[in-house]
Amino acid sequence: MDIRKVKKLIELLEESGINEIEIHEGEESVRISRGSSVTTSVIAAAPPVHHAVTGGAVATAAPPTPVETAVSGHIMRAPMVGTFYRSPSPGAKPFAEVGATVKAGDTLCIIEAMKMLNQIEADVGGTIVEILGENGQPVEFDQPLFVIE
Amino acid sequence: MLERSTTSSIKQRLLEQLAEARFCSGQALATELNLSRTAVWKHIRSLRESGFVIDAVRGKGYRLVSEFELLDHERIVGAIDTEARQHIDEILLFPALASTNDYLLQQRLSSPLRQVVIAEQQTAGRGRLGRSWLAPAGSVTLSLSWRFQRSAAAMSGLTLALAVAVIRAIGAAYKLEDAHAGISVKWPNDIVVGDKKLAGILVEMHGETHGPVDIVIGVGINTDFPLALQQQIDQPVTDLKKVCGHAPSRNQFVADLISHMVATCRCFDEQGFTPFKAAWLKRDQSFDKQVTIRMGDQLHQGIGKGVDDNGALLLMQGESARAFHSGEIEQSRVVL
Repeated sequence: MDIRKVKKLIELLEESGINEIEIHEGEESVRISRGSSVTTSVIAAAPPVHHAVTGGAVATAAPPTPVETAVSGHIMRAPMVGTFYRSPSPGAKPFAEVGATVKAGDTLCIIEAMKMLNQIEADVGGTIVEILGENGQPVEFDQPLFVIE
Repeated sequence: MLERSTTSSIKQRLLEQLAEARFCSGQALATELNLSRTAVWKHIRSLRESGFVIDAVRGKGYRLVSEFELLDHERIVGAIDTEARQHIDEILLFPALASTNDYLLQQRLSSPLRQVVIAEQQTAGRGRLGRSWLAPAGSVTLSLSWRFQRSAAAMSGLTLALAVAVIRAIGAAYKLEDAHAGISVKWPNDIVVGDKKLAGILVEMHGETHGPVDIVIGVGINTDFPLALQQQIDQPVTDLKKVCGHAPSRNQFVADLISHMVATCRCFDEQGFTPFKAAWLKRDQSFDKQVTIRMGDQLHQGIGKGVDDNGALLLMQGESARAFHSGEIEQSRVVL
């Protein structure tokens, strides 16, 4: 098999999330799989923020932890299924807006299910950078509602 | 169990004087309560505004038109089921309180006590999402705080179980047969007769996602709702006296409510909604009816098929059933 073809396959593997690839071409076949060295390079490619968070754990050859690079900041999730309300009553001022500074324990929203009203409180202090739930709309269990930094 | 009753207000003492359905002169009331006659008159006017029907006859004085049984801490405590009483830390009775739920919600940080708060009159009662709940004389309003060793998600169905508790308490106090005078439940927990509201339950919750969760349950029941006040309400209402044809002791009814609510909280904490499901389904107002439910700005329709094991409303939409965890039933009518 042409070595350039093999090189191309390796590049393909590295770009994708696939762990292993096997190609048959007539009599020949080639199988390329991610070894430990490849995994290490993925960790190395993780953003510096991650290293800072993981601290000393980086130095050990521990199995790779999932890397959440998409969102920075603390995500508050829905503790139950229900309807998401940003204010205590229709037309009232919302509990919190994007850019607001909140303390742990401040009420951020209400989730209602079967006329049970659950006041959701911030579990960390910080600035609200994103509100992901939409007022008056249903939310699923564990759905992200707020991002606090 | 701690027992405490707050000191009587002037209005409460005035009611006590009038409650025996005999005439009291303005001067006698003023002397008794150490007030001016103008002050007596102002308090009478305020009692009338809360729904008490008070006669004033020149030369005779004031009289409550119907005999009115005031709530009495000792009588209530004495009438609560012994087992339920052992599980309550404190029972408070207020002549007037803005809102029994708010009182308990404000307490919650200091202590996770299991408390019952009863108000002879609620001056700023709340319904769901900031709606007001008018609670005049002739209604019963109380709240219970309870800590559940469950996750927030596992509390699903509690409000339905409480509707069953309230109907059981009504059945006990009013000595109703199984038909329960046509009393049914509009999902999830509005207690109605036909399309008229009889009682409302408001459950508010704080806590960690994984539990325990602290719950405050507010119940408001129309027992003998003054006709004059019904026009002030934006929905059709009825009361237990009309529905059942008689009125039992208010103190006994409050005690029955507390007994059933406590038993329900204990059972729900251990077993969830399942033990209450059959009793709820028996009172389901929307079963086999065409139901319109509002979720935010969306309306959904289907045929009512009861509830699932979590208390979610099941609506048949074509060939499949869909479960609704939130939303408000706008209408349910018989399928023609």
